Amino acid sequence: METPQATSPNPYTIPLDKILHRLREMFGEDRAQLLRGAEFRVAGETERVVAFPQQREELSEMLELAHRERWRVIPAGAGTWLEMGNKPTQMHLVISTARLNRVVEYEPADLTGTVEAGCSLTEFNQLTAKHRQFIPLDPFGDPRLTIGGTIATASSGPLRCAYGTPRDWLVGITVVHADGKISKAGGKVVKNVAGYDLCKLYTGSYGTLAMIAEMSFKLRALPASEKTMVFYADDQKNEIELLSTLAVALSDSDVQPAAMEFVSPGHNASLPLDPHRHALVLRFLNEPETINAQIDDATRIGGYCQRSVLSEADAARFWTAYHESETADDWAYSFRLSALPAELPGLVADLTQVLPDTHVRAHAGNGVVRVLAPLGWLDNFKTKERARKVAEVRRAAQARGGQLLILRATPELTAQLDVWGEVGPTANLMRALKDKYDPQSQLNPGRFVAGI
Amino acid sequence: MAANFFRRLNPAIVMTEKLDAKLIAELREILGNDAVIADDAELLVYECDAMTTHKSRPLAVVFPRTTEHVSRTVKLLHKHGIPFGPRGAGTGLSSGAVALGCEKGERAVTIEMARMNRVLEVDYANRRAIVQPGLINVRLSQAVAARGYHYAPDPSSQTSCTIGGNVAENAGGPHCLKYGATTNHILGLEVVLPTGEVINLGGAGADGIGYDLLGAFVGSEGTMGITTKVTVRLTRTPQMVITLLADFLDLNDASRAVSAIIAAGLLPAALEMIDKVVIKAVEDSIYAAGYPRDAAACLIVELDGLRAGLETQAKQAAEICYQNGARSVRAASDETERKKLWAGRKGAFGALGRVSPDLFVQDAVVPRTKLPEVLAGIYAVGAKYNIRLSTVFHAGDGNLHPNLNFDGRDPDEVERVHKASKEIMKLCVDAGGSISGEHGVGLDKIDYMPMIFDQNSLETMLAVKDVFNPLGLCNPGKAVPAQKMCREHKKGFDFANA
Repeated sequence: METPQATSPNPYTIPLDKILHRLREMFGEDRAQLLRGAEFRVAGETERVVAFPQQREELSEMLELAHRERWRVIPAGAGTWLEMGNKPTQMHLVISTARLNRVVEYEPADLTGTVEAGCSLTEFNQLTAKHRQFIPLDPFGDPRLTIGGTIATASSGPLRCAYGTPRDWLVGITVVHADGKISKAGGKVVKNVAGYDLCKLYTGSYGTLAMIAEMSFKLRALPASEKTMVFYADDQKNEIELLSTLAVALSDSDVQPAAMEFVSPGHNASLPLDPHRHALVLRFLNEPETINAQIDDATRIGGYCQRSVLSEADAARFWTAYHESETADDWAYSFRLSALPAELPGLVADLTQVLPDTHVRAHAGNGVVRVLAPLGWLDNFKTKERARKVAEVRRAAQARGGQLLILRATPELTAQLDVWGEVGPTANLMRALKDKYDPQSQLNPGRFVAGI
Repeated sequence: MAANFFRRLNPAIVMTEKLDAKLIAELREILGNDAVIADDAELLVYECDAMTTHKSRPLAVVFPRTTEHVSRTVKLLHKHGIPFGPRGAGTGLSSGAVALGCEKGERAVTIEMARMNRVLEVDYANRRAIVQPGLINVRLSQAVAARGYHYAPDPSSQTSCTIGGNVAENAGGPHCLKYGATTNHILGLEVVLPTGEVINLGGAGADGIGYDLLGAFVGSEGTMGITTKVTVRLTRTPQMVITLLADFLDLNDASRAVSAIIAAGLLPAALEMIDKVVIKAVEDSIYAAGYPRDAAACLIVELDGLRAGLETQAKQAAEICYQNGARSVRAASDETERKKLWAGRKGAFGALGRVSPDLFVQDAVVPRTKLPEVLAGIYAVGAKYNIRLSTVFHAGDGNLHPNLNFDGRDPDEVERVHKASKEIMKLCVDAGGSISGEHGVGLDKIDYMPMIFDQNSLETMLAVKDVFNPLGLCNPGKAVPAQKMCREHKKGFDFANA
């Protein structure tokens, strides 16, 4: 039975214990928890109700209940991306797919797999590794990161240089809508043009359209071997220019690294790199003879730089540390800038001019730059000037056809800047889309772009 | 749910509706005198695309040269509530470019993009090119070849199909096994929305912000708007290509070899199968490629990439073919022979014209491990209905092209083709497949959509369509079966509260 308050709720007056009670009553004691501390924290609140559906139908029923009660829902997987986005305008409940985590189907000979949203990417790739296959995505962050979360946030990592981003690997999806209805798009086969490609639409939609329940992927064969090569510029005054020019030259050659990362000094981790110099790090995944030929090619093209091939142990240590340190707690700020690949030198120059002493990493083949900085980074600037400086970098990126996304920042900064930046003229289409899917704005209200 | 292509096979074309003379004059004013066809005899050639089973003569065909032409034309038609649809080279195989109106028997204006056919910019530093939608697919690869690049999606019709049409259909081709389909190669689009508004999707830096509208638009079959400019990814041309021809005396052996190659982790650039009917048709035609006439099936296995290590891969692929019963495996000795092997494959549909006046090409996809059983099932269906059935297809990604040869003047045979194709579709869907891998749903397969999508899923797609195309005037009757007649969509369909 619906209570009178539930039909016209004021978000801040629905007691959490009432929501908790209702969920437990309907779905069982273990399906909802009142959590305090950092776990599943969305926007600095001290406590929150988190529901954990274990079946797709249960997820549907929970969303249907929330729809009836007009509870605003924050969709989550493992909860590692909840700090991203604008502060939701309202929230009553987090629904996590962490326990909706089965591998539904995996047929090695088809090179395809179907998983539930809460399935961990690391665990799934461990399973498929037994058949020497993988989903070639390596998003940064907690290893608990779910596949649903990877799709919802369109997270990628260094391997995108060769393998692309989540949109390139997702072939089918089942979602639960704000009102509990279930729909699907795509299928389980690797090539499919039947119906609109809504897989793309859900990828990177941050749970604002619907909640992901299940996904099907194409897989790739695991490469036979790997090697990592590091370039340093001889001329320390022009390191950035020399290395980013090298990155552009390599991209326009037959050298095809799986990853090509530009890394500035000042990193927090014990990366096996010279701590005082910029580096361009290439990772090759292939047959040994193919890798060796590419290293020869890269050596020829980058002849004006110092270079070395890391030992197997150092290479493994580098990539692990590089991944872990990217989202480490000691970064109070994490931005992602994006522009056309050849704009990389300019983009980094703009950035370091406005905000010196910044640790910069870049997917050098893709024009994606990440800025990482500890607390106190902007202390040299007056309070009001800080947001202005970041806005200046954002404008510079926009002038190069790109943008700046704030993944993490102090509340002071995010209070003054939209974390996403301007969408431009497509904002109307995006709002109309949100309206169709979620007319009452129940899913992640206010968290996404253009006020969505 | 019944496939009613038969009903549409020889539709009585409704001639009553005509464009108002004043409207034609207005179109001429926008586009110029030489850019509007409204004479019924001249319109005849535009009444269908490469799938000749569905026909509807357009009310008029217009030939824009600029984005502004398209935008002003669309605004005018939108104002008068006249349905319209884009057309590229008309090589589509799902009747996506047929000028259907909103109501049964109603006609539409065709916006023919062929005159917007220029390469606008090639940007090697960012490995991309900006082109107009009417550009012929292969011309782009030719334009960038000297600099060591190409445009990867290569539909069999690439010497005549347009990039804009490829975007609309999310076209594939033999090489999308390794390189992905059109959607994986489109970085940005300029689009005229069905209201006439011009908008850019994607195209900025590497990662856009907000919803991936670009991803949703590609493959929407002209139902979300008309593409007027395309930014595509350029792909490095491989250092080396090895093309193998393996022939089998048993078709099942060939399909097992396909599964084994995929399961072994090899990623050929292309992996194609041709059956004996097609081999004979090709060898009898100008596309004769030297396929062994006595083989039950041939596989074309193409490996490409860096020179170092490629021969090892080719050897492995050849061994797998032998292990699965190949009679012989040979590599094309030079570029001429390689091109010949491909000309046969890509000319197969043309060559099948020798078998009968009409050809019905299907495009279902099945999981690759199901190929042997599904293929056996398909031939059994062909035998059951006494149909000249053959297959030539992208085996590597399980994308079947069963060809049903028939004579459209023979009603009995048409009926049998209709029944057989429905049964084949069911066979593929039951095996966990899809109704279309690369040709699109269009008008042709629209009645099959409920076989793979339930009501909620179809309504969700229609809701997305409503966002772009609220009046439903832009290419009505295609891609997703409508729940309502168009023009009724004005208020939009609120599936969340339906």
